[in-house]
Amino acid sequence: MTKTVSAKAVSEDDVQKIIALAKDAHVQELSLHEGSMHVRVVLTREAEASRNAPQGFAEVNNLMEVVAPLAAQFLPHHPCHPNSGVRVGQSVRRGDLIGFLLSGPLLTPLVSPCNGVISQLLAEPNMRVGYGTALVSIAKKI
Amino acid sequence: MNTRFSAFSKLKDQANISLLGTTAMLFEAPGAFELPTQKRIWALADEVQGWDNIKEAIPGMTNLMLTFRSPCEDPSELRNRLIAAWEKATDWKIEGKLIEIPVIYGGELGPHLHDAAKLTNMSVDELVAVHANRDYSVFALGAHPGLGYLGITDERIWVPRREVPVLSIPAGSVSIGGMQTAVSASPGASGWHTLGHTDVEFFFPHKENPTLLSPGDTVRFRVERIIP
Amino acid sequence: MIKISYTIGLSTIQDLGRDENYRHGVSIGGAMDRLALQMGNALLGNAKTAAAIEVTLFPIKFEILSSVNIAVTGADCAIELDGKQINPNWAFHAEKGQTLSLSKLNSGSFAYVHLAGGIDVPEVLGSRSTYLRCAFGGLDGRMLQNGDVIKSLPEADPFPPIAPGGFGAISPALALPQPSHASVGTNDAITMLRYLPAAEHDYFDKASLDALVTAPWQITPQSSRAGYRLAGPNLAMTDKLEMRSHGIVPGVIQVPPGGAPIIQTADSQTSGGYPKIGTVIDADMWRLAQTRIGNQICFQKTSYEEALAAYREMNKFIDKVRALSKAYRDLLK
Repeated sequence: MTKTVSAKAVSEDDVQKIIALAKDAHVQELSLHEGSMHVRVVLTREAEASRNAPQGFAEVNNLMEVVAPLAAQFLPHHPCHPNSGVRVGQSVRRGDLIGFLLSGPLLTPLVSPCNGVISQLLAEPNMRVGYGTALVSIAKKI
Repeated sequence: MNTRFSAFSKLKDQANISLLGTTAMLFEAPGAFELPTQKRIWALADEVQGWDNIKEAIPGMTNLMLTFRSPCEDPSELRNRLIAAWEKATDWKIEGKLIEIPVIYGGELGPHLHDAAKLTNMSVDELVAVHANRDYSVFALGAHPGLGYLGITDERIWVPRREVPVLSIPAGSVSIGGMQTAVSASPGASGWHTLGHTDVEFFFPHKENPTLLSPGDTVRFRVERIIP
Repeated sequence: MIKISYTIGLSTIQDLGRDENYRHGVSIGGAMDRLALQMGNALLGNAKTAAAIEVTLFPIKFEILSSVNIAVTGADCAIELDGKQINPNWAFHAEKGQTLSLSKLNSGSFAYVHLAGGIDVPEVLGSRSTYLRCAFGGLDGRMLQNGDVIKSLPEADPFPPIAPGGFGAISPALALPQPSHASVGTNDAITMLRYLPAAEHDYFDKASLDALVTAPWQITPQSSRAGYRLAGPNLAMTDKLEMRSHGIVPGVIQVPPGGAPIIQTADSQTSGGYPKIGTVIDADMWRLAQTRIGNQICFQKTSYEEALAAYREMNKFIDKVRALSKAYRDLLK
């Protein structure tokens, strides 16, 4: 189902609310337009499937890509601890914190889904990322 | 006015309304410190307590503090309303209760009895007699739980606050300061002169009405003993 | 349910305090940093009035007796769950048998440990706050001791264990940065407090009024939950006024005859008779609470409109934390 809604102003909060509403209503895709702004929310089956996980991830050839579970700002480290971020080449274990997403005042964690080595940071620090954007890739330890 | 007192004070000669940040407003009645004014304060408190956004209307000594449920959006409107209500506020008719409080004056629990006697040019016995010789109105409750501010003391025993406050006096301490007297309901610091002690309890946190005293009550001190 | 397994004292149970008991002479009391208390309750979806443990002396350790969602807010200290670092202003799940510890205070004074549902102690005069002076409220009206078992109330909107990694909010200092000060400028080492003039403001002499807004003031060790006593220039009045005892609220800056100001805080007396030079605005009281003894503050006069705006901004921040926390918790359900 695709639905287009015109909105007066869309804030980050609104987007979060819309996502929640869309999920509840089983809407899979909706677009919002305002002047030059265009917000399109697509809820994929994968997103539905990952609702129970703290975040989404995709696996390709032993590389785990951690993706954003919500639209937010990507922070590789906690704002109070600027030296705490993960680096390429660093070993991580399943459940380790590997970054944060900042959405309004809310900080949510990115957690490593596996044991492995950070292979690449796919998003720039402080970059605004959309739902489903790949953020970090981890080479799985087999 | 007592010269000893006027030397360190200047009367506010008109009603004064001021803000305590955005959370409270203070109304101070003009004129001398006297019971008829306090009765109007009680009447004003009764009236204001029912107004929108007023959390509590709390009588002080010839003044009233209003606390707000949320910050007052228009203080000048409230100010005008308060002045109009003050003009209309008359005697508050209340049948307060009479509470007799036995006091042991002096000794370890009345450490400033001699200082106060010296300040007032009286003997200890005279000072005690003057203090216990009248019925006091409970003007307000405040400072700490259950403490009643009592007035007005005999002009002969008006004394300034102590230069250096005492860090802790026990519950039940009977003291004088300015034109007032009070009995502390819990241990704590005090800048007043402590004359004696009573075993009466004033505060019951687990009761619905947690205080022995209420504004409008009358307190009578009974001299149980004087420790010279 | 958690147990205090190590404390050196001064920790108490606090909520937003006692309303409508001023007439009985009972202080508002409650959390010194009301913003931090509200943040913890917002993260966990607790009632706004839910109580938490206010921690003042570190380290403190808790043994988790039954698994529970927890939030730690307020002062920036080292938070560890079974040795694993937890972020500041964070909500997380703790399993039975784990140990939560708060140690090494980096900045701030008061940390808050919240349990989902809020802490279960009886309400006294409408609040669960501990009032040490009269020994009521909280846990038997006293500080928490080793071995004390703290229970939580059932949650209004029960929530499964928070997923690994937890979640949290940015610190209020980042969300609500302190404004620049006219003479100090922008300096995070000095806490800037905005105040509104109070009744006796204009009776202070010009030198004192100038000193109030230009001098750095140090918080002295004589400070407590009742008031913060400041050291700096002496403030003097042009004339002596007859002061009659009247109601005072947290934030009021009293100036006793000695000339050293005292800012009233949570456990302040309900009335006083010292001249008042001003009142620190509500929106800045959490900054004062989190300024440590020995550190400096400075004052800046503000307008009523600005004070209202700052209050609204603070509440908006809390409302956002609450709404987004709920959305995130629902997303994980």
